[in-house]
Amino acid sequence: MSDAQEIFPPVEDVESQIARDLARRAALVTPLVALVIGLWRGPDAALAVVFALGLLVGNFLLSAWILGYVARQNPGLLMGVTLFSFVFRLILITVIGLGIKELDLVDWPVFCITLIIGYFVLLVWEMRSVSFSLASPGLKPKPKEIWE
Amino acid sequence: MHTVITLLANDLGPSLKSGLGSIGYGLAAIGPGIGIGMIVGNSVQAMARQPEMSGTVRTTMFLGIAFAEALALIGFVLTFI
Repeated sequence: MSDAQEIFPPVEDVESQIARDLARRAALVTPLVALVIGLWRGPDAALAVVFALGLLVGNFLLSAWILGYVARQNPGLLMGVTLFSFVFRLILITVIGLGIKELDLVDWPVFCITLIIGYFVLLVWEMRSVSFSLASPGLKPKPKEIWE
Repeated sequence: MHTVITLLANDLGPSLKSGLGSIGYGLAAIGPGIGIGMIVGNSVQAMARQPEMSGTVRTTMFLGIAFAEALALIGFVLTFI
């Protein structure tokens, strides 16, 4: 057993839990948003919403998998791997984004705006949930306690 | 003079715009890089001080990293929109 594993006790894979929770929320929201945007701006815009939210969820899942794996295997590498993962995912997002733009498959402005707004909405939604339950389960108010 | 400027703008316009966009994207990635470095550095320090809290620290760290990355994503979008 390495020194790092002796210092850090085994912990659950919190990053993947967060990313899966976020993906579940995105899966709930995507059809509705795609339908509304599609009715407003056409099928290209609906496809743009699906692609943008898919790219966001893929980015979160990949990030969670990399960070969770490194944190469990060797926390000493966390710093370097996080920064390299950031650069790698940034390049990946750029390549995929430019590919989508070059192929002219989707409504590009809708794709870009969905990317930004979707990112913040999903993240704030998840942060709200985490602050109530995942990180601090003891803080989540129970209905019984509220009425007592 | 005006003609020269117009000619330069017409010839160099698209490539200049593309080049400036790339520089802007690169500059936009510096801030999140510094932010992520600070977040992870402090998280590693917190985990070293209190290993029993590493789950909570990693949860907060992951969300902090995601928020910092949003700035780079904004840079990407503003470059290509």
